[in-house]
Formats: sequence, C-alpha cells, structure tokens
Amino acid sequence: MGLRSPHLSGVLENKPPVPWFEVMADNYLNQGEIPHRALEKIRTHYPLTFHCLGMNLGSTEVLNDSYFKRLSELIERYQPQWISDHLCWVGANGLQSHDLLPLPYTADAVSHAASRIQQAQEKLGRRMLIENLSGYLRFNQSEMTEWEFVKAVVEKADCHLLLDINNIYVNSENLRFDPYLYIDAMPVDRVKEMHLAGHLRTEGILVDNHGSAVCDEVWDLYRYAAARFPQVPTLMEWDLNIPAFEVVWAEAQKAQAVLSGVSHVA
Amino acid sequence: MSLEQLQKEFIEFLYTAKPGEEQKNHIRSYFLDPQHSDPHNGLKIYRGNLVFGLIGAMKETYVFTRVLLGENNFNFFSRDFLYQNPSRDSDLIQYGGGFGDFLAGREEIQHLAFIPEVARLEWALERAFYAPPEPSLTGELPEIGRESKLRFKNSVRLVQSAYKIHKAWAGFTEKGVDGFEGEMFKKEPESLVVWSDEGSPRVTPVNEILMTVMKETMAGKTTSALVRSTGLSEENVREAYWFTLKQGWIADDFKSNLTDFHSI
Repeated sequence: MGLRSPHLSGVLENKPPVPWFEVMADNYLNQGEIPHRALEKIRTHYPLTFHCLGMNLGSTEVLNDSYFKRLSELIERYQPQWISDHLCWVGANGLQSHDLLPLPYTADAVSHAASRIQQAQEKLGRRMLIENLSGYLRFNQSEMTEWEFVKAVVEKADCHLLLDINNIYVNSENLRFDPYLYIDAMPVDRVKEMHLAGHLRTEGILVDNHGSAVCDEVWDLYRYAAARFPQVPTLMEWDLNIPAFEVVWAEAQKAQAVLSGVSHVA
Repeated sequence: MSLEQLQKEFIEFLYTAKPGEEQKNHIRSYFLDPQHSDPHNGLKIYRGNLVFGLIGAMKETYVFTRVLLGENNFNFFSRDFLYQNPSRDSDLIQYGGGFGDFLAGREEIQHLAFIPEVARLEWALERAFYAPPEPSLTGELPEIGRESKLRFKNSVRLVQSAYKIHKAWAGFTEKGVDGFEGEMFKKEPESLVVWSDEGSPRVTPVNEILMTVMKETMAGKTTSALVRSTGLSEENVREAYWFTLKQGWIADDFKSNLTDFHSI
C-alpha cells in the first residue's frame, strides 16, 4: 500500500499486516523533524519502497544533483527495498510543473531517457524501477507505440519496470489501443512491481487521479497481467479523496487474492 | 523540433495564464488526438493538473489565509499568483513564498489588509516546520565580542505585522473557525518570532527592542555595528541576546564563530 498521512496514526497503532509500504520520497526530502519521526516508526515495523516524482528523467535539463544528494541521504536513512520514478519529464527551461509530462515516442527520446536513467542509477548506486505514464495526448512525431517505447527504454537503460495497470487502461481509452497488446509486449523479467488505482472519466477523457476504487475493466486487465507476471508484488494507489485505511487495504487484499489465484499463462 | 525546444514550448504554454490562439494552435500542432479532432481536452488536463498541484501545495501552507479569503477567492488569487510566480524548485514544498506580498498588492482586498500579514506568518511557520533539526545553544550566554556576530537557528523567522494577527491565528489553530473574530485584527503593529520547537512551529510575540536586535543580527551585523546603527545601549543588546538564549533561538555553533572575546 501507499503510505498516506491520514492513515499514519492508525497504522502505527494497529500495525496491520501490510507486506510493505510505498513512500512518496519527495515528501521527505526536506529535513523537518516531525514527518521523519512518524516515518522512522513505520520503518521499524515495515519494509519500505521509495516512489519518486522529481528525478525529471525525460527532461533535457541537467539532472538535479541536489535532488539526488538528498534522495541518497534518505535512502541511506531508511534503506528502501527499491526506488522508482516515472518515464516522463516534470520540468524544463527552469520551470517546474510538478506534473508527469509525456515524451514523444522516438528513437532519440529512447536514447535520451535511457541515458538519463543510467545516470540516475549510477548516482543512486542501484538499479531502479521505471513506471509507465498515464497520458492524454500523443505527439505527432512519435515513431513507435507506447509499449515499444517503454520496452526500448528499460532494455537500453537496463532498469526494472514498474507496470501501472491503470495507466495502461487509461491510455488505451484515451489514445485508442488494445491494452492487452501492451501487457503482452512487456519484458517479463524486468517487471518487478505493478500499480493499481482508480481514475476519473470526464469530458470523454479518463484522468488518472487515484481517487476511487479500481474499476472492473482494470481488474480484468490486472488478472491478465498477473498471469503474465506471476508473483510480482502489486501496490494499491489512492491519493485523492482518501478513504479509511480499511477500504484501501481491502482493495490491496483483492489484488493479492488475484496474484495468489492466477496460474502462469505467459 | 528538438526535444529541448518541445519541452520549453510546452511548459511555457502550461504557465501562460491565457494563451492566445496563435500559441494554442502552435502547441496543438504537436499532437494527435485519436479521440478528438482537436487535442484541446488533453491539453486542458495538463493545464488543469498544473493549477491543481500548485494550488494544492498553497492550501497546505496557507490554511488560515484560505479561511479568511474564502475558498473561491483563495483559488482565484492563487491561480493569478501561480501564473505570475512559476515554480522553479523541484521541491513542491518550497512553492508559495511571496504570496503575502502578492496579496498585499491586490486592490480587491485593500480593506482586508491583515490577510497578507497572516499569509506572511503562515509562510514563516511552514519554513519553521521544514527546517532541518539544529541544536540550540544552552547554558550561560558566552562572552560576546563587539565584532562577533550572533547566529540564530535557521528555523527562526521574524514577522512584523501592521495588524494584530497572533491572537486570531492562535485561536484558529486551537479551535478552527470558532476560535477567532474579525475584531481581533486591530491595526496595531505586532512583532512575532516564528521558530521550531523540536519540529513543531511556534509563534512568540516580542517587543520592538528585541525585534530590532534580532533583525539587525540576522542581517549579519556585528554587535558594535548593531549598537551604532540602532542607538540601543549595549545593555539592551545583551538583554535581548539573553532572552533569545533562553528561548533556544541561538544556534549551538555560534560559539565557534566568535571572533572577538572582548566582552561588551
């Protein structure tokens, strides 16, 4: 499960049997004491993974040394099992969007992103997981499908893949492709984690807002993915309109039940 | 079109409050939208995400300001603010500084001039919350030479308000919207020190002498320069130093920076 502030005190009090918590690492890069006090307590009871938003891996700006330095300190302090960020850019030309912005699917962008991921892995001294993005537009200049792009980048960068099933579904609806082809194209040996989340349908577009339960179509896609990538741990994301811990936990257990029940069909 | 140019134009488009037709058409020409003939909806999502993310960060910081302005007004002013003050730091927590000054310049709320002061206080509180832990100087006040510079902890911030804001803020913090009234915001100067008590932000009202000494000290003045520029007596200054010591505002490494051991 994703560790979210409304659940912190309940988790510390009740210590539910969650296998691990994913921490939004960017929220802890500052050194204020109070957020760290709670996280240190969580760390004594649970393994952690770090999910990042700010590496800016697809940007043409120079990698932010200060960001990586602070992230390395955080890694040293909490010893997460793994670290992930997105195949996207968040800032350019000195401006920061704090949003996950898309790349064109070109050979140049593959080389650029893969090189940056390699640099990031060198700075962090470990192999990372890269997550596929939700998207609302497709660049004219794209030369390949999204799944060809993702596969090419992770193989060239020699990194792992965090496969977000909801993002695949959202993109398949917004950009009109078969999401099952996407799953089929992903390299089995590189998928180390999956994400599930809810989305919002508005003005004919699906928005990846992590604000609701997982829909039936995404569960169907997940069952298919779980068969192709057996035993790959799955994280339930819920970041908007966050409900009681028990609601998110029930969704996470549903995913676990799918993982436990599938047979390997790949 | 290079990737660098594409990213530059795209993010500048996101940060344009009201893009003209030419700019919109130019950006649209980058995209195919299989669902719609025009990629307008997709672009709207990205423009909306930018606004949602930055205003969301500001709501975390300016909790009382938001209540005083009302939700719609807060969103309106924040939206204007973000287009005039794009985020340049990858750390979202750093976003929103200067909102108090921005509000102070808005004609619409000149009759509510205490609100920008509250915003300045809340920004200082946010900085104190996120300040790295730092030990305080404890024990007796050491000999402080005339050419020495005292150093306060990084979490210590000074707020000078033309209105009384502390009581209303404290009431709001304790009891929410039932904890303050409009009459509390009298037009009367107030000097406040914002600091971190082991990670918890605190506000302490101080007198003018103490505010002056702290302000000049934080501006990097030596003790003798401070005495010369303010006209305060050395005794006043030492008393002020003593008070800040007792509050735990002086950084522990201050002693190592002493350059002159002639006592004042």
